[in-house]
Amino acid sequence: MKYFLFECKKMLKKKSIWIAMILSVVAIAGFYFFNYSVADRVHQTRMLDLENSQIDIPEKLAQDRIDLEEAKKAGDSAKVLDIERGIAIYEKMLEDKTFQWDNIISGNWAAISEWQFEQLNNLVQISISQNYIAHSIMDQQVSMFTMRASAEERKLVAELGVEPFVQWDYYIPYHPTMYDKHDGKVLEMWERSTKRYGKQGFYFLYQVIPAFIIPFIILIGCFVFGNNVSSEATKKKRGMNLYAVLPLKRRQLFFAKYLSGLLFTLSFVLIIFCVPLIASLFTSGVGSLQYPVLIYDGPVESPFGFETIILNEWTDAFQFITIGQYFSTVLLMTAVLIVFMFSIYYLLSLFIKNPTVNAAILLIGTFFGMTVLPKTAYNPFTYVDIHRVVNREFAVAGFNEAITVGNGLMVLGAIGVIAIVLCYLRFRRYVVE
Amino acid sequence: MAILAVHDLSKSYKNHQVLDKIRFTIDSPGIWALVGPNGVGKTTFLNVVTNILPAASGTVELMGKSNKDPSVFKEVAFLQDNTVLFDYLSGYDHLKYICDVQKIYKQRIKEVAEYVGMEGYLKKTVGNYSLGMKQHLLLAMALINEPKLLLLDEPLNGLDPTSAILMRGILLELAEKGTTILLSSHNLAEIDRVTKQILFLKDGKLTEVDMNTFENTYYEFVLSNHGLAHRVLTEHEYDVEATSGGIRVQLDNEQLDNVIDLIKGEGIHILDIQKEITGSEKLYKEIFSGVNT
Repeated sequence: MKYFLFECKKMLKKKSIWIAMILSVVAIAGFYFFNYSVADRVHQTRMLDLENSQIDIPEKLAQDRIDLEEAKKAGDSAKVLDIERGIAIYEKMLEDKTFQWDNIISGNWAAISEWQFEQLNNLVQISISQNYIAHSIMDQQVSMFTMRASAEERKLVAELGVEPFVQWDYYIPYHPTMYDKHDGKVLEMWERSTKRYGKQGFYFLYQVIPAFIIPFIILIGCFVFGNNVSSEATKKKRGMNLYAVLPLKRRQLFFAKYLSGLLFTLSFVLIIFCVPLIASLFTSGVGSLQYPVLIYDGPVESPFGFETIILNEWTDAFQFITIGQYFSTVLLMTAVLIVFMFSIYYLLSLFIKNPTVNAAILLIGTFFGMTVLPKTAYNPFTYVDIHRVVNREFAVAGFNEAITVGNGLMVLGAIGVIAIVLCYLRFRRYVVE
Repeated sequence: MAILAVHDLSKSYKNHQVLDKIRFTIDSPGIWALVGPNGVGKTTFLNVVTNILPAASGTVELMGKSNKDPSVFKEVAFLQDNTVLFDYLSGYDHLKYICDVQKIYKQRIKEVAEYVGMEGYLKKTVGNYSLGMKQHLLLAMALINEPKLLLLDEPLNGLDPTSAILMRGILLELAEKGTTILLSSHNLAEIDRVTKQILFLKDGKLTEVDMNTFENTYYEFVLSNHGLAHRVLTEHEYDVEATSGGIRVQLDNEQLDNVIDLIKGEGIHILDIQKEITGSEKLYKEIFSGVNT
């Protein structure tokens, strides 16, 4: 234990480590505040639109009513009908916008979400009744699955009564899903309108996790804390030779060094996770841990008793878990992913002394493993994309029920342990030349 | 049980044979100096002896145990160069760690720091130490477990005269107390002052030399009349040469009395006498002639 504590003390006394820590904390805090400012701008744009509509629409209605009177006087019945229809639409629009404005101002998010649910549910019901998807963007239909999932999500958010993610399209706030199949200009419009911004701490984390921020933070952690052998075995720094002339077993030294590096990497990732949560206390708060997170369940059992291997946007199942459950699973997978990545990095560092080269090899290797190797249950790099494993996107899209969190923990853990053993075997014969 | 026993020890880098089947044993306490020009393999020899570097062949026993057994370092210490120090830690941190590993009581840190004269900067960060201060710390680290066998790689590097004198004093005191010391050094004058047992390392082989058989003793006299003294001693067939401050006479120890009597007999006052022992340097030149030092 004393050896381990000494290694920890060494880490804590290195200025370079503190600089790396501070820079990382500043970077993630900066990212949070930048994201918050974008989210706030989107929200302000919405509020401005609602505010302007309180002036513009009544003016438009007043003008239409004058035109209506004139059309009636002129006996132009077709025009009268047309204007009356227009007035009805604008009155409804004003009513909706006034409803939204009032509820947002009063913080009644349950009512807003309930209203959005009604819009989405209407589309779902219409689509089902006519057996044809009722909403298209420039001739490209919105996926029925997306429509159903979005409606369900909004219903849960309404029940929860919390402020939802900020989104450009607040009339029909779709939850983007893997069933979306847009392309070209529509894809661009779709991505913009469904992009979600988390102002609250937990929501921000949920927003950035799919963008591979976890493996990226782990990689930085490995780069900073995974060199406690190689950095002491250079021509100018030969601290390893000090241990060599002490009555200290190699095994004790290895585990003191390995575990201290691992502990600091774990702590580093945890601290980086906590930064947006702490920063959010100065803005919108951490958010609700009850917020719904979409989980894909895939094709339901066919009438013939076996599962189909075709996705069906009309019938495929889904469920929601809370964001709290989502984070607890993500944290568990993150811990095992850290063991996996750190052990691989540590092994590399016992062969190559340059941390930049090691980080590059790990980065390239991970990218290769994720993109080129098939997404199977036994490919450890499948589990680097924690979000898509937890929400079962990989399992459903690849029709591979073996891609689960449990298997991920086992595969990453097993390979991590193998890497630790290899590290130890290499360390036993490690010589500072 | 030999204190240090080296059997057929070999080590090579690529095609260069640095150590070639070296056989060497130290059976009783004393000071041994390992001498050789730069790059001849002195540090490699010490590193292989302490198992920092693996030997290509041969065995080493320290205090009766294989050098591959880490427990030998309860009784053996090795003062390496200052690259083994951690710049971001204090001297105290280093010593405390060694105390923890060696299971030594913490009071020993204070004792050893005082002994080597580093108590004033013990808690400062090593990155702020001078070369000499680092050398003091390395010495403290080597002495903290009161080793029976002490190996030192260039211990006089970076030491000012005061520290060099202190280091010499410590080495002699340790040897007197029964510690066996093997040190490598370039400073032949300092070696002459601490030991007569020299190990010359050349072409991968060790040659052990007892300098008592090679050393010359000179006495430098500062007198009231140098010219007269020079003439008188020359007449009595002493090997005399004039120096800038007096005369220098090569003598055996038993001849000193006679010379003093001769000088005083001429009515010359002796103002100062200094003794100088030489030998290793001359022998070094003979052994390593043609080698770039």
